[in-house]
Amino acid sequence: MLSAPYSAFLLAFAIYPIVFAVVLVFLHWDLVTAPTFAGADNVRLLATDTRFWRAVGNTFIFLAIHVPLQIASALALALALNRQLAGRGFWRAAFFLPVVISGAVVAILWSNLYAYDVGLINHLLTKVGLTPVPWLTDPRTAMPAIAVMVTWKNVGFYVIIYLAGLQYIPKSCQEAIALEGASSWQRFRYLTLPSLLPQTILVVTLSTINGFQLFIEPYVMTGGGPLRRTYSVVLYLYNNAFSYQKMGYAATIGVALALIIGAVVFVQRRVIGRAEAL
Amino acid sequence: MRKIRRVALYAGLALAALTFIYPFLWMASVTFKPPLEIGSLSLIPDHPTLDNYRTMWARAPFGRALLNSIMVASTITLAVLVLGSMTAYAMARLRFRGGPVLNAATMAILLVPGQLTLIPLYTLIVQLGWIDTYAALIVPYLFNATAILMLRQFFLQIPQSLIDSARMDGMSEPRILFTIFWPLSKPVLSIVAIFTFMGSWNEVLWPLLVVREQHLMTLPQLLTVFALGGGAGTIGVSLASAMVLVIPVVVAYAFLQRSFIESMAGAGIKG
Amino acid sequence: MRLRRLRSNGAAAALAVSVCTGGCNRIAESAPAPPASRPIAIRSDYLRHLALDVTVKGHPVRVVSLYADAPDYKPTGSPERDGYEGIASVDDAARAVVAYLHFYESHADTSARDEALHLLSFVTSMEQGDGEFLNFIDASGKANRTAPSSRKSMSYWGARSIWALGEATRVLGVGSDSLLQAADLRPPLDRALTRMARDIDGGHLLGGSVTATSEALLGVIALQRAAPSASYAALATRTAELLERQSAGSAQTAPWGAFTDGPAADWHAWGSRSVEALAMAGQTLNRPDFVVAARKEVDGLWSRFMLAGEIPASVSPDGTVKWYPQIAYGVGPIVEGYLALADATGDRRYAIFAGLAASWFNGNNPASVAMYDEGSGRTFDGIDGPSPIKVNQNAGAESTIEGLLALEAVAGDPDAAEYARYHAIEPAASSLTSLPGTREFRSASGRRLAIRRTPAGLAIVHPAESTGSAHGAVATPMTLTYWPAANPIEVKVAEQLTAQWNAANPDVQVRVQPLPAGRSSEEVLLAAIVARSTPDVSSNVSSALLARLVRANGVVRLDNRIATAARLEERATPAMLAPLRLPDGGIYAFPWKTNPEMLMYNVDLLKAAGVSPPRTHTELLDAFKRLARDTDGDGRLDRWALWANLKTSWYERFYDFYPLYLASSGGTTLVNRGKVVFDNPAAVSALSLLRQGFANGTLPRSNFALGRDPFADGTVAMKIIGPWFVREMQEMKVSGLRFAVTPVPVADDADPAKSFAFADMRSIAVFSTTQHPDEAARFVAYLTSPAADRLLIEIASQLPYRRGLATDPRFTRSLARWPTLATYATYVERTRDIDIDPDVVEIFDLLSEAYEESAVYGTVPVRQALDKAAAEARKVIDAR
Repeated sequence: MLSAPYSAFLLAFAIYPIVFAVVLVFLHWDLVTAPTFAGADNVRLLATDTRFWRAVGNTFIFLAIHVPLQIASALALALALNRQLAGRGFWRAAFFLPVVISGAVVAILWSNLYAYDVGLINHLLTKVGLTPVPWLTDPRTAMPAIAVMVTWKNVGFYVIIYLAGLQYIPKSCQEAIALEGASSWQRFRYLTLPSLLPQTILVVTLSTINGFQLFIEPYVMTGGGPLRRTYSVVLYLYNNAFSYQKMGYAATIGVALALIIGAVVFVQRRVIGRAEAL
Repeated sequence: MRKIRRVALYAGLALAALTFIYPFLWMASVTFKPPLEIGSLSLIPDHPTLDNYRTMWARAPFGRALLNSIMVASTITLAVLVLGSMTAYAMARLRFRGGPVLNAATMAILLVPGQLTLIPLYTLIVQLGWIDTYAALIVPYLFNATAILMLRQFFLQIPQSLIDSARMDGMSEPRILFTIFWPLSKPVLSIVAIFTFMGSWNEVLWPLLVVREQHLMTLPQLLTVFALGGGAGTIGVSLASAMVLVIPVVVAYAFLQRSFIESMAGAGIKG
Repeated sequence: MRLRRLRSNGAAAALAVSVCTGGCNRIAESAPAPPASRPIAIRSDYLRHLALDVTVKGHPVRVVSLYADAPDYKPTGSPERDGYEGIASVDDAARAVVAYLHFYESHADTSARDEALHLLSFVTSMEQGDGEFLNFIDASGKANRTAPSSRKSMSYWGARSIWALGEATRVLGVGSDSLLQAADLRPPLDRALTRMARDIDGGHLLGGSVTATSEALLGVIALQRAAPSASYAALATRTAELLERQSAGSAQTAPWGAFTDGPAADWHAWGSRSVEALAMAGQTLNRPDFVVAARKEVDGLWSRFMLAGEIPASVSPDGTVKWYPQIAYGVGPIVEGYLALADATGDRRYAIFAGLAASWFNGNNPASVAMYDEGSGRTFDGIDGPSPIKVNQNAGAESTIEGLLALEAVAGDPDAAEYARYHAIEPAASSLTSLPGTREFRSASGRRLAIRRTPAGLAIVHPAESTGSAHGAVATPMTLTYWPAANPIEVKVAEQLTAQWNAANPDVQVRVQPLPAGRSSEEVLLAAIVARSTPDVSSNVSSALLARLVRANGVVRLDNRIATAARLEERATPAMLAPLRLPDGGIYAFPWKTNPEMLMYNVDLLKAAGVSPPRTHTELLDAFKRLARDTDGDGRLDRWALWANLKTSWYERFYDFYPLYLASSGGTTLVNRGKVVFDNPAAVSALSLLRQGFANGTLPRSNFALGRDPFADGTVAMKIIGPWFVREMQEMKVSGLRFAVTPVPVADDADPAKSFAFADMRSIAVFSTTQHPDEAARFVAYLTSPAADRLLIEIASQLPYRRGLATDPRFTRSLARWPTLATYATYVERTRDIDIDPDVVEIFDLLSEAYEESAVYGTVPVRQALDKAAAEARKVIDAR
């Protein structure tokens, strides 16, 4: 009963577009002329498309940096902010600031921070006698640089999730474990961390999904370069859809991406779930 | 010892906060710089100017757009909270036919990139005759899969005993949701609210697609269309536009922060 | 019946659209345009039919026979009753030359040009060595020296020879290798000019006639336009000043400003080209007073013709009018005079009057007979009257030539072309002194136009459309939606132009809805196309998108609608249009603006480094080395010659690889008819050049901070960029920075004469979702008028795709508004765009990767990277 409106909504605004997209997998369609049947063309092409698999690989590199960094930074800040602090409101607001700014603006901002010649980061590096790094134009550093930036942008959001989670840890448990003389590390390891498991699952899931859907940052900052190292799957999808106008192929990429994300999230949950059991 | 740790904590927080605030300050300062100074790192412009704001102001009539943005974002936020928690409640706490399907479908939406569904969704709006209406801006956002997922995750943590005793008291499910779950879920509801509001507030592409009439345009859309319009040399104006978007949110956040934090602090389930 | 009602109902049409689902792209075939909304066909067939080959003084030449009588239209000479003058004349040959030249200009028909050259041989053969001419010859090629209409003189036929030779110089060029030089036409022309100057300097009209003097003046102006010189300017000025004085009467008193041979002489319609000559002289010589003089006759006398509804044969000094005979030689000069004045003043009312005057040829005349035959290009000899009113169905050279001259000019003006199909509703007045205050005209489809006398001349009124017309009842004015690019500058241009249009066209209102520029524009436009919610008109269509739009039948063909056909003819040469034509010969988007890229350089930085603007790759590499420096002594370069963007977004190659490639490729682009052609030496040399620059560290291996232009602040000394940037430079450059432009350097072994500039053409499309294709086409023609183009140049520093832009005096002042823009303008007709190929963006992306691998990071040799890109591009094309 409560879910009836949602079901109707899903049907119109989610299922219909998704079914539409799935149908497109089997079509050639350039948006303006009538679609033609493609059979398995798109799927075959995708299987051997080195550009697509490269983008998938890039995304895993991104995730390998982004997800742990995101969890660690969000958790650390949340724990720090969960104490009795002077000016707690100010700190929270500070960390939350990047969340409210649109992704495109953040990308513009960081392009300037990362700029080779006049960027703030290189400016500081040269100040302390180090050589400047071409952050976004060196194939080795570009993707890590973007991963750090995305982590920075979203951390405020995840901090709040963790903070909310921390409220749910019953005070009595905290008192009990403190009475037993547990060190702060032990308290963290055996009480806080397990209690925050639902939040961690959420953070992992959301940051993984977000990571797979990385788009605006490489789009604004690198265009997918250098040497395709920051080319993301969604950027490739976007280019196929709107630059090359190959909707069928773009849909194939999208569906493949959804399946990959689904598989990864499933595995993650299993792994975290097993960790909980231990 | 304790004191040293305390100092270290504050120092660490201050450093971290600086990295979060500096880019924002830089952005603010750029908006007061003439084009040639934009490359410089200094936060204080050598030749401060209001030209970027003047240009933006001259090109884009804000008043109506601001109202539109507030209206659209608030409606969506309210809807997502009410409808989303109803759905999440059902998914988390009620057993019904199709529940698992609904759950899977919600997850599926999250997995599919928006770029893919843009065109089909747009054609749907055209077929419904909603081009140049508020409906086109609002209806596709009435539910939000991420929000539902988050709410569901938190609802799962609420002890079943609370529900059972409420049911025993003869409370209807909606009443349980709004009188028992909501007060307990203030933190997550606030997150969802902020998250939804921000998403809607910053959204550009969708309004660009479905609204062509100036009096219906949202603030970011109006800025994109009139103040920016693409091309190099407009970064001052573009960041000035970003400021205009950010400031209402920051003000609102500062204003609401107190009750927001209290809601978080007070929501702990005393055990 | 029901269906018909649905069709004319907007809501029902919207419903029909909404039924069409997302995947449905079938687009209804647009019905063929009714004859009344087709452009007038200009044909030279009949004129060619009148041609005769004769031998004059031993040389074979071509002439035009004087007459041809109905019904078989066999070419003949003058009848005995006139006293036999001959079979052909300089009078007709000379103006046939002008007609053929104009035909050649707008149709690129070289046979018309050759026809003109043959006729010119005849014209010059009749020059007598002292700049005077004979007129008639007989069938044996012998000149008639006795008839008064043929005696040796500098009179009508001499003046007209100057006109023909002047036009030939303008159209065929003045270079030493021009056809004109080859035909040895210069000496007779020079002698004729000297002879003309003698009369003019003596204060005498040629042959005592304003008619003859005006035609000679047109010739001198053509020469001045072809190759400005002080002597042409002086002769033209004196001639025009002489003509200026012949104006008689005033706005209130007869003969109302008419130019006549003298105070007692009648004004006659035939050859009344004083207005045309003075308007053009005023514009070419920058003498507004000549234009004012021309307007006197037009606003005074001709306005009366418009209200009367007829162009008379003659008007005496007291205003008495003789209505018949009405001949092409009388109507044509008035049509062309109106058009010249519209051009000189920018007042489109005159172009409308030109069309209304020209409607005489299409049947808006006392006999209600089409005088001009669109099938053959023949014009009847006239209408005799008043009782009985009778069409003279013979068709001699004079009528046919004058008809072609006038209608060719009308076909090049959207307003004139539109109104040339209108008809007066009320019968004509009988005198010029008692006239109705208004007159109404209507088109075959029921659209109306009224003219009304006001103190300031004639005003144009658009009455509400008549009910029950072919399009159904439309109570409210129709509305067109127009999407310009949302670039603030272009919105400004669009809003100004639209406001003017809306004021002048109350029945067709246009709404501006800016199309978001940059990254979002493609999404918005594509989504609109998919959902068939496109606007009526959009002015930001790139060639990349156009290819698909056309394939999908998404846009309306424009070269067969009156207004756009006329504008295309006025604006572009056939050579400029040829690459835009699709296999069916049609043009489906109006080529609006082109922005040729050149090498912009910082004058002072180059001078300080002792570098002259590079012309070849070697010189450019040298400039890379000499302009790179370390100014703060930190051991790292911080000043460079050029910045090649490291980003691989496809359009970034518009500013480095692609223009360098086009400069050396001899016009070869990336793809030709579905074949990949870019793996060639020009691409290798362009990539190698960049590779060398990156390898030796003289090209910056960095992306500068967003929003900062390193050229504008002096960090780099050169930039490959289009004219729009000139305006941006004014806003963001450091003060005192001086810049100039030079062609993009070519490969050392490439021919600079075959160098092309890259230009990203933007077109205006009328989408096939429009309910009003003809009105939309009129609006497009309006957006591309000379006045609109001037606005585009002045506000946006962008260049219209327009013939002879750099030398056209109408644009000189606008171009001078910005530094370097005049230089940019010289490249408008020497551009290459990206290919109109559905996969062009993906191919650019592939090239961009080759650029990155081979040039920026040097991980792959140039040849290998290029071959790989070409192989992958072939795969992409094969897959479709």
